[in-house]
Amino acid sequence: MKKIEFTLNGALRQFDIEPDETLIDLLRRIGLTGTKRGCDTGMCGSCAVVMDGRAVNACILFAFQAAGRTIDTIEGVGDFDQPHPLQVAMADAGAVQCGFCTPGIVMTAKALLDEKPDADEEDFRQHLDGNLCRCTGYVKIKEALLSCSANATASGEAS
Amino acid sequence: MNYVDFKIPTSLAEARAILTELGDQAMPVAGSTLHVFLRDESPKVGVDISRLGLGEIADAGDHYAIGATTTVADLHAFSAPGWVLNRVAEAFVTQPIRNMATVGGSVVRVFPWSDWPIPLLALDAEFVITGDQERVMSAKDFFARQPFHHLQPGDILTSVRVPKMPANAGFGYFKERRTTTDFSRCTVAACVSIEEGTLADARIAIGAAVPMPIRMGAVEEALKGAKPSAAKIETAVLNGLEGVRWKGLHGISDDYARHLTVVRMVDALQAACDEATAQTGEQK
Ligand SMILES: Cc1cc2nc3c(=O)[nH]c(=O)nc-3n(C[C@H](O)[C@H](O)[C@H](O)COP(=O)(O)OP(=O)(O)OC[C@H]3O[C@@H](n4cnc5c(N)ncnc54)[C@H](O)[C@@H]3O)c2cc1C
Ligand code: FES
Ligand code: FES
Repeated sequence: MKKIEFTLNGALRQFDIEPDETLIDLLRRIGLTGTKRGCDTGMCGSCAVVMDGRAVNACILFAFQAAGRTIDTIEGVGDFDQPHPLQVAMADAGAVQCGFCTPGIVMTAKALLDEKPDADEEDFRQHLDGNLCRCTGYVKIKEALLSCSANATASGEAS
Repeated sequence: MNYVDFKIPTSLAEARAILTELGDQAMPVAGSTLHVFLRDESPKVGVDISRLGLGEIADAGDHYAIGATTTVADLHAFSAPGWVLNRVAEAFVTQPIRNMATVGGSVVRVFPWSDWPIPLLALDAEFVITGDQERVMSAKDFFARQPFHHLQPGDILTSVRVPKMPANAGFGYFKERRTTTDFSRCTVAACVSIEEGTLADARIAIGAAVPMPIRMGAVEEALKGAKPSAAKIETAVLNGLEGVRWKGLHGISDDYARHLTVVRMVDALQAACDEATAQTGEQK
């Protein structure tokens, strides 16, 4: 075990980690199980978290790579009582069925909207090209995410 | 990977000292996105090289100097005259991987399906290795064998120099994949320049359908000085395949790999010629 520290969901924290522990292993070990393990090889996006403002796959990132950085997970975004607008939009649009892909999608979309609040359909398509959903068929996810863009009403893209 | 320890240096000198001391035991870690494909289970010390100040793209006159730990997302976002690597970045895996993967990590260990060696070969990039002394290698030499064999303990690839495309030049790039995370079955990059209606320069590199990425010298030679017509391009490609060892990846036959690559070589050269022609405002 070796100590590292990084800012997790807004709070600077210390962690004892194994050198070969991945970030998803660490997060789930400390109880943050909202980050989902799907493929474990960087192909599905269900483990997406945000590192220094950018979406990354926690399953292929080693925990030590997070040292000194800022990591945001779904637990820091919103909860049942105070959901984030993206979470509300996903629920309202019926963009969630089993929900396994949802945390990864919300984190990836949030990273995009934080950088580009008026993201358009092409931006979402590009930024979410690493998020697989086995249930919904993507149309409702697209509608939900677009409705959160600052230009949603202006462009009339959201339903 | 079997990491038994890790180090997080914050300067190039510190990183080099650690790598020199640890020798074969050390594994530089940039984005770490290649590690799922490495079967090496020997004990290693992961050395995080992502904080050495090597993450910028600089305008260096006739070329862009890309710091080795610049992410593919940054190559994608970068926009400047004579810069075409955003087109390669766009077809590279997925956004989270683009956010993590670096240009250095993408060229030090080459798999048959690796994307980046092909455009960097076609663009005549150069690779700067910092060891006890700094040395610069041409793309042809760098990719002549597995590039990590060029690195001695303590050496770090610090920069990739990519010549700016001149105003009379065009670039064509094709990568055949079925899904965003799918490996390429055939990757082709072509770069041409046109002067007074003829091809002053033609460069083409292929990968994924061959064991290691290569430049297609015979095709290039046949095109130089020629008028860029569809017929000329096709003839040059078909006559320039001698000696190439085809290797189909992921379930496609060697023959089909050859066929696909021939089609895409013609497409890439045509796209590059069309772009160069449009740039120069000349008629085909
Ligand atoms: C799901 C998935 C799909 C993928 N698909 C593709 C694909 O289609 N095409 C493709 O090309 N790649 C693909 N990759 C592989 C990988 O993303 C790339 O090879 C990547 O660009 C590696 O970059 P990195 O920064 O993550 O390197 P790392 O994994 O950190 O390092 C790779 C190797 O290079 C060494 N290294 C890194 N930087 C330096 C340096 N500056 N100096 C010396 N040594 C160094 C490391 O020690 C290591 O051996 C895929 C990866 C995943 C997870
Ligand atoms: S679990 Fe990380 S990308 Fe699938
Ligand atoms: S809702 Fe089930 S995987 Fe997306």
